Amino acid sequence: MISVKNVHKSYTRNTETIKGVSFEVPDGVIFGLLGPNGAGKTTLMQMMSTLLRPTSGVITIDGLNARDNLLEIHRRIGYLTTEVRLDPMSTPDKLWDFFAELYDIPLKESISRKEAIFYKLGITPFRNKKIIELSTGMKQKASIAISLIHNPPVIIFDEPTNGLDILTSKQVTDYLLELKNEGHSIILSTHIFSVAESLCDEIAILVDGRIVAQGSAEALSQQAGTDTFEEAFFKIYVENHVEE
Amino acid sequence: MLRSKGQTITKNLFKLGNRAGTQVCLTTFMLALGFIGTVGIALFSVLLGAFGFNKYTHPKTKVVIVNSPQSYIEYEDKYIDTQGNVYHENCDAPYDFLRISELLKEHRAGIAVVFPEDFDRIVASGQTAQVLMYYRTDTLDYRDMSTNFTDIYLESYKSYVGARFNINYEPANTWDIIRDDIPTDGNLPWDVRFSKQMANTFVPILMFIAILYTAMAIGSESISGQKERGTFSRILLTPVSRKDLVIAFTRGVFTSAFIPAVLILVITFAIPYYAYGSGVAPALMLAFSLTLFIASLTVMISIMNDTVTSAQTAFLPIFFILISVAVTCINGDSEHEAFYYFLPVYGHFYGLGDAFNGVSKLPAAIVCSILTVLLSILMMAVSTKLLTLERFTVSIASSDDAGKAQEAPVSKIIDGIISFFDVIFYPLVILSLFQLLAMIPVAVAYTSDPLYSYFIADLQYVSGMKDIISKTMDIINIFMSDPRFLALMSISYIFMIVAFIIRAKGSSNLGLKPQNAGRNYLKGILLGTAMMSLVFGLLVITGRARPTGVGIKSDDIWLFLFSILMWIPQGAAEEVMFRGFMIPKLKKTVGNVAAVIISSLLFSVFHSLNAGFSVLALVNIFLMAVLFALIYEASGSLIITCAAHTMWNMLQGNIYGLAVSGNVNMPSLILTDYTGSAFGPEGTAEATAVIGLALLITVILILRRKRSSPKAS
Repeated sequence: MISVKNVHKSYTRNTETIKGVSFEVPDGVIFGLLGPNGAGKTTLMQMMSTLLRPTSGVITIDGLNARDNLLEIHRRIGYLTTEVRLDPMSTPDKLWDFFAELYDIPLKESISRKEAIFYKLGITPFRNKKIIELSTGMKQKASIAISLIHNPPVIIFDEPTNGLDILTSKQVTDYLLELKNEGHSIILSTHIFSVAESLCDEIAILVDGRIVAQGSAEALSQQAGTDTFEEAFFKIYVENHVEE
Repeated sequence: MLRSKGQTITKNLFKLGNRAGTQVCLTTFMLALGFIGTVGIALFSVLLGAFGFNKYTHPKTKVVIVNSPQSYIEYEDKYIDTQGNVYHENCDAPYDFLRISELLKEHRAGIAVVFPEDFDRIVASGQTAQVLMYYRTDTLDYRDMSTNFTDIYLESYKSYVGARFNINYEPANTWDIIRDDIPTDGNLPWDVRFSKQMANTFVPILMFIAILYTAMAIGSESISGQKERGTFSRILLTPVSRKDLVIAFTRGVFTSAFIPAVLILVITFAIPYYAYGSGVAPALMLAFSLTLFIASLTVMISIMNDTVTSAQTAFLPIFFILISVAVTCINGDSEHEAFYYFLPVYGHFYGLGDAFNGVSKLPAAIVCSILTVLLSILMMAVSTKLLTLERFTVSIASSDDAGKAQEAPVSKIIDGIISFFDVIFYPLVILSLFQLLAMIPVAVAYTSDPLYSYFIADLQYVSGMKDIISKTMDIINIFMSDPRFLALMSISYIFMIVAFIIRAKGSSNLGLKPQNAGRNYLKGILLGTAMMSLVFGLLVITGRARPTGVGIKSDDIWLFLFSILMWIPQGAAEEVMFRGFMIPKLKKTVGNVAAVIISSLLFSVFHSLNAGFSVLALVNIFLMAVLFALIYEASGSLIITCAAHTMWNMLQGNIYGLAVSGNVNMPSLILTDYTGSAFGPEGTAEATAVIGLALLITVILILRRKRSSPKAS
């Protein structure tokens, strides 16, 4: 369970990238963050992952404040973004072992988890290939595996299906649903409406650093009075975006 | 737990290959540029040395004769033209080295000949007297000097004494000359001397380079490399504390750099010349602490940089600074102050050399190592702190959303303050940097001049601000009378102008436009010449300056030429700094009139640090600055004032023989008996009159032009 309370973030003195965002994601829920480029999705997720610190406001994970319990939070979150890459000269297999040690995972458990996840995501065929030799989709799958190495209760994925083909995409979304059913809380950001609509229990629409609408895809469509979720999104965006 | 995780990261470090980065950050680039400049200047000074400019000899052989016997005074009167270079003193303790060396210092003499008090009586009675000869050991010159003095004067004095006392002349039983100097290794066999020299110089340098290079290669790759590849955040997100991470990184770098260090130690101690068991413990301790120091330094720098290349370029100047420190340790390899043994880097260098030579000072090595380790721990603490800052952990620019966040207009006041500091501090930093660079080679060469040791020795008597200023002026006068310094200053002024051109993004933004450059420069030369000649003329009329003859001696011809040449970039650099760079920047924030006034005030205050400065000089220089600023504004070209500035200084210093901003040590075409302000003509009312007149004419011209072509303005 992750809770975000009135979080602000400024990179420079006079601009606020995140202007007061609050939401809560209970266990066993997939929460979607939807918004155009520059809305602040990545910033928000980097703050949840502890890589960035909020200028003000509180983020707690299972009741622990990220400011004070950094290492404990790190054990509880799995973070995935295109910015966090894997060492190109290493292999998925070696990387798994390296990070397993850093997360203090007992060897036996680590091996059995590795086999299971590698199989489920279809990494096994290229597990001993160097990352640099892998395709975008393969890399993304390896990244997903590594970020879930410690079986974190909270999963923060920034555009997990970005750049993936339909088949790989499906593999990933299926795995996310499975994780949800296991009781993980999952936060996703995405540009793809179908993914948001089908996967997320709750969607927050982020425009200019603010959550302007929040609810299930259906509820949002109803609220906006449109037939599809996509139309609802555009309508909400136009209503709330201010040209500067 | 820390152990296994740390080892995992440490092991990973070793596996990383060398992958070059792509970006070079601006600061590191500038640092590297500065370093290249220094090297260039140093090379230049070496070149000058090749042309014979580097030779320093004490101008005259000054001798102190202590307890001169009657016979010697007679001999001197008859046969020697002392030219005022021989001093006679009395001292009842001929063996008191300290007293003798004080006499040497007092007379700035190189050698002292000490006779026994009753020399004549001893010699006359046929006994053997003992004459002592002391000479300074600052340079080898004095040794030759003492030999010459013995050969030429004392030998013939021997004959004179033999004749005078009518004794059977036989050199050996007349007297012995005991020459006393600080013991050197001169009587050791060459191979031992060579190996000692190597242990003091080559081996420690080799060790420094090995450690620095390995640390740099591994350190920059391990952290900045990971940042560059985007794999660093993933490590930051693991449940390993920042402190443990820094320790793990440092240990990785340390281990890889300690291996070559130990290898060098083992090989060195295996060489028979260096097989001193007593040196092993201090050498190991020093190697350990030095490696730790460099490892933690590398880790800190790597954390601050985002790419391998930027980390390595940032490390490069440090690399060379440490090597340069090591090289300065080689100078004067015989005796060092105990204090140096406690300093990190210095202590390491000396300590290692001594350890190989079997004369190590264990307590000093312990203190030095402990200090260094403490320093390393401090750096590791800083690194840990840095890792908690977003700036050094997340590359904000690359994160998709944030990068596109629109930037609101920054508050005008803050902008103004920043640019104001930029206007004042950038020129000052540039100026002091380049002046410092020009001083380095001359200062280094100067250390081999005997004058230097007197200078240093005199520093202990310095008390109070007045003394400090006069000592500083001494240094400047010494430097200004050195053609090398002038040549280097010329070069550094050119560098300075280039630095301003880079900063202002183009020479035309500084008013240095190529259109009509030749004609404008000529105009400036005419203006400067006319003004200074008028001032000189007025000074002659009022009787404050009286030409007495031609001032240049043939010895000074180089100095004269170099100072003439130096004024060209010097004038241009000051114009670029106070007019071309400052005024347009100030205009943006404070407006036209204030820009001229502020820049002129700064120009004036900047000159107030010179000797003999007075309120009148402040006013005159301020008016001069306003005049130049107006000319620049009216013509849009800085070239006129560059030339005028150059001519003003050149004429007053090198032609008319007046002081330039308090500097009097210039060789000048006309020798002038000048009784005006110590600061130079700028400190006189005559200059006020001329500058005021020029200002008036300029203002009238500007106003007339404005009236005749209102559109153009």
